[in-house]
Amino acid sequence: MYTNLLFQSFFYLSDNFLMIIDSDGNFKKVNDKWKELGFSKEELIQTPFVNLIYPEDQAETKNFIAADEFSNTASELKNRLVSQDGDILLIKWRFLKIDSTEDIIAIGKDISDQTRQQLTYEAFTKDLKEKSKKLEDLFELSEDLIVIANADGYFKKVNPKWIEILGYSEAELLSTPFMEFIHPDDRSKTTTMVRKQMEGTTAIKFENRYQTKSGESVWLEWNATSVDQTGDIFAIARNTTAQKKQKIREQATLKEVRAKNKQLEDFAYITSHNLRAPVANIAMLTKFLEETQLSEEQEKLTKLLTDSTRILNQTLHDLIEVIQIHNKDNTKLVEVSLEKIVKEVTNQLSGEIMSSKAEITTDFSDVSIVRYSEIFLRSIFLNLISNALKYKSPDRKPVINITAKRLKNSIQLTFSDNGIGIDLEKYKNQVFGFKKTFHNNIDAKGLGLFMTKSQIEALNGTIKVSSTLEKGTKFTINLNL
Amino acid sequence: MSKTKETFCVIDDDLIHQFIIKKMIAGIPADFEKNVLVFSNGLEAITYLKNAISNHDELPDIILLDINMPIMNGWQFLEQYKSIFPSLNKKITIYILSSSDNPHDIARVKEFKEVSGYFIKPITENELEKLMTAI
Repeated sequence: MYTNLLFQSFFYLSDNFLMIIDSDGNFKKVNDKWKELGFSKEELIQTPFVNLIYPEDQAETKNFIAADEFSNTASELKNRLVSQDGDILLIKWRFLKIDSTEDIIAIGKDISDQTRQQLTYEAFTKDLKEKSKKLEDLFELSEDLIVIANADGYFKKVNPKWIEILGYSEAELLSTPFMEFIHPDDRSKTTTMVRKQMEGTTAIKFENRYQTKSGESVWLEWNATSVDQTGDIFAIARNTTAQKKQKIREQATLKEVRAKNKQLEDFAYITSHNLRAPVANIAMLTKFLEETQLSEEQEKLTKLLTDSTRILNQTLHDLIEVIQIHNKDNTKLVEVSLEKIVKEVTNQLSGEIMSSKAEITTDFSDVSIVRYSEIFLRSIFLNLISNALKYKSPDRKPVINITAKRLKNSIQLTFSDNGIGIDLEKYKNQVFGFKKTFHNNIDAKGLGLFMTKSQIEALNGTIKVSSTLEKGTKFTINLNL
Repeated sequence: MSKTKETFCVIDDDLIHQFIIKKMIAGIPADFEKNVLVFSNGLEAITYLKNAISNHDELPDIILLDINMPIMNGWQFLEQYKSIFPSLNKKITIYILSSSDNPHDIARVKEFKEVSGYFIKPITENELEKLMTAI
């Protein structure tokens, strides 16, 4: 009686699935554990055990029970139970036949969690292996040079790129202090960098040269390195030799171009000088010739000779000015008084101003001082004022108005005249061209406006023109400040 | 006391220029005697100046100096001139008269305080007359 009570207590207290089934496999008795599957005892009793088994496992379970191999000793079976909600539990069973009744007693342990953990662990290991394989592939196939070096100054591991680029075998690379592979001129800075690494700095874009087995230099750019707790350095370098060589070639080309440019400039000066000397002589000789007794025809020819010589001389002068536009001395910025510039220029042009009775008015009330290249500013004023005088209308007294206004980021200068105007329809794209003239004026050399534009643009300014034939022309200049 | 004589010294290898300058100087009206010394390079000129160093009458008042010349160019002449300058018995005014408008040349003139001005050829009669009367 007591034994029976004890048995009953164990039966109900157990956290395992306990059951007694008859020899046909129907439930005779179950404990409370089964309730967790969502079935009451009443529902289960007299129904076949296999009904609760996952379909795939049913055949095996039936065979196991039929085989009746657990008459004397307990026998084990694993199968899956399906709850009323469809959950699946993996159960490890121990079966034993009670001889007297032919009933079978079985204890089932839920090993779902345990199995799941096992599966997770296996998946994790597999994943790790794959990742490791990927890393290995990256290491093996990388176009970059990857290395692990130790604190003693030796490489511990190099990827095949090292062997390909430096031409040493892996054994050679690992058995020689790595400093010996570095170009002697770069060893000291590399030592400094390695020491900084040890102190925890991360190298970014550190460059040095390695030497290949055949003695060639290879430029490496170290982009990321770090030190782990063992003192090892992990580093990745890119071979930048091609870019470096390209850069060196570019610099050499640039140097050559500069030298050529200097040569051309010198050539221009020498040519100008050598041409100017005889031109100056011709000018003077022609002048002497004018002072002698000449026939009417000779006098005419001498006059033409004088004009040609003067134009030739002026052209030589202008050519030199064009060469000098980008000369540093010319582009030096200083405080310049606009009033002073106008005074100087009108003095220079006083002959033409007097003979044409030209009136020059200015309005510098908004801006009187500008910070600009004095040489350029004087040249701009000279060219635009003499241009206005040159293209005056024969029908009216020339009036030239010059204004200066402060805009947001620039100073705007305007030069307007009441001259003959430029046919912009026809010459739109040629106004500021080199050697372009729009009138049959013997003095028009066309360099003036080209120079003016070049001088303004050399300091990032702009010049625009508007004009009406027989009314006048207006130049608008923006000087960037 | 007004001057009675003025001596120009032209240092230039260009024979035509020598002729022109001589003719121009001769053509400028003046109430004093005008002399022109002509040398074809710096060496000829400096040799003359060294020999005449204490002879006030033989030394020029004005030197018109070209830059590009064979044997001894204008710069080399100026270097030599510096060394004889303290023992010269006369104030001599030097002008560069060159066809070079190379800014390097123009800038370099500033290194020589002995040089009073820079003219680019051709010099006009007006300018020449001013130089003459400035003495």
